[in-house]
Amino acid sequence: MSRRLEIGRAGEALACRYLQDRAYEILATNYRSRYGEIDVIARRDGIVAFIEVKARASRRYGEPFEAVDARKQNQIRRMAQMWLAENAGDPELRQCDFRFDVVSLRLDGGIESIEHLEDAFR
Amino acid sequence: MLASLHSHAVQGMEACPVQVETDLGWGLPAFSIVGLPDAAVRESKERVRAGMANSGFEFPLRRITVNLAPADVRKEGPSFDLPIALSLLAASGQLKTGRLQLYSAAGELSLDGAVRRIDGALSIAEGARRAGHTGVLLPADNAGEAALVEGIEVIAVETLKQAVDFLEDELTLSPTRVDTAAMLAGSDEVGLDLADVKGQQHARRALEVCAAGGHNLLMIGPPGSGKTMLARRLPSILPPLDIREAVEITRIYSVAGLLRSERSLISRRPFRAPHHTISHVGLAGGGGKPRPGEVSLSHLGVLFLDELPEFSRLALETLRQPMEDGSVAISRALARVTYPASFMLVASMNPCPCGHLGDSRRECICLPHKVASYRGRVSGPLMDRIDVAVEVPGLDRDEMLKAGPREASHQVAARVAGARVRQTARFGERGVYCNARMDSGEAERHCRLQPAALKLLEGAIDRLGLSARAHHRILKVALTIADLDDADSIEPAHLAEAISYRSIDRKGWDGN
Repeated sequence: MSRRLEIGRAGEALACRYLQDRAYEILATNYRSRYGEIDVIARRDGIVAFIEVKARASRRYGEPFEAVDARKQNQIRRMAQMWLAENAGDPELRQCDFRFDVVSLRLDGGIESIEHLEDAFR
Repeated sequence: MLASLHSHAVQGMEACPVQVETDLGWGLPAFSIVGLPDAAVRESKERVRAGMANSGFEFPLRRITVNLAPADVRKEGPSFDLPIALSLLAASGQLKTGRLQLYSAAGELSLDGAVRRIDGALSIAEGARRAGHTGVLLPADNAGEAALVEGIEVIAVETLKQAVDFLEDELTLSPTRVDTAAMLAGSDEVGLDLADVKGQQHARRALEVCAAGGHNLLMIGPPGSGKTMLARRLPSILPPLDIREAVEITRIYSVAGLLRSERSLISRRPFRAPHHTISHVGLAGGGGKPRPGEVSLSHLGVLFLDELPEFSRLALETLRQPMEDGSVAISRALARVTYPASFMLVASMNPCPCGHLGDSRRECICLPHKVASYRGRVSGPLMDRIDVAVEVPGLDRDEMLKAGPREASHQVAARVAGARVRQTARFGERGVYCNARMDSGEAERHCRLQPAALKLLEGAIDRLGLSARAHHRILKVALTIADLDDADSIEPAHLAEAISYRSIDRKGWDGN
């Protein structure tokens, strides 16, 4: 597996653990189609968050959350709509609000830092 | 969750009611504004979002739809920021809605939550009163002009938080009150005075007659003879505004966005002197987003066109309608807007391109056809609407250097005021302010001619080939002259003077 993929997978796993430690319920991971993917869908306190996980080994290419550009945002939004359409029958979901988050990790051997940006874009 | 709040959209001079409805729906976070918003209204989203957040409120995580009803009226400008924010707060449970329906609101929001001034606040206050609201929330900078409207509470708000606290009855804000008498009184200034002008008795008399009756004036003369000086001193002899007139003018300036918060009431008659490069849109009003033109900004005041032939043909032709009707009607696809434009036209021009035709002291060097085409730039129909045309000859040496006593503005103003008193008594409450504003029916009714004067008029119509319009305008000027003379009916001398002011008809406007 390439180093980039490794870091990515590790990041998603770490992010999930981070969220679970904070009472989030993980609804889905790697929700994908040919149009894009959502790394993590998690819920807490009546809010369902569509989370993009960004893991980086170094700062050289900018802070991780800066990598979620407009194109990526649109992809995530489209995927979120698809997920909503698939799950629209769930009555609990009808009571929820929705949010787009970014969890940004800097890895260097261990975890340098984790940042959870709630409501990162709309 | 649904919430709704009253606001207004300013169309032309009037404010029409707008209902700001907010729905917080289920789904991915979104924020859309519908109801024909223009670019500024669409940008409201950013200002509202930041303003709310920086005022300590939460921006709802819902699918937000704001509807500005009715859906087929264009919504323009940033004045919907405040009502949109308030209705968002109400829909998301951050604003108790008990008192919401009693009030209407308008204002622009800064990113920090401060409420900024808007155009047309006076019209909005009038609209709110018409709709029967208890009060209207407006930016503090607009409160002065809005408070001129009686019968509605004007609540000045400085920040979004303040507006919320007021509506929840947690903060008492007293309605803004203004002392209109004080605002009107504090308007006398020592400025230009007729005593500055040397000689020109004939032109001064013409100026006085026009001021007394609100008539249009054209001054023709060589360069440097005093035409512009005289025109600029006209405001110093015009009667002061009463409160009704002041509010009318203020309403126009409010809609045009020309009021400053330090000066919520226009207390002096406007004197507008646009440069001759002005477009017909700038002069008459209009444009993609209709705005009042110079003719409306000089409503109940003076529009001074210096160097009349230098104005574009189109610009001059667009003057014709307002000069007849006292208003300008502008049509657009979705709306028809009427701006008041009851102004006194004062114009100046040279008799020919070099300026010295008829000058006793200098030779005219223009070719005859040049003179004709120069004069032709002011069309016959426009000239027909000029009540008083006088020649303003160059001063001779003695007049130029003499330091004799000259009448001051306040002396002339007193006579003008006397004539206006007669006119107020004549017209009563009918909203006609001066003789010039009479229509032809009223002119015939009020202008009682002595038999000798009637004969004189008949002769003049024959000799000068006067149009019906010209005939009515002569009658009105004659009535003003009679008013100045404190006479109850028009005597031959009054009529003769009025006829003499239309000598242009005799000389022929093509320069012959």
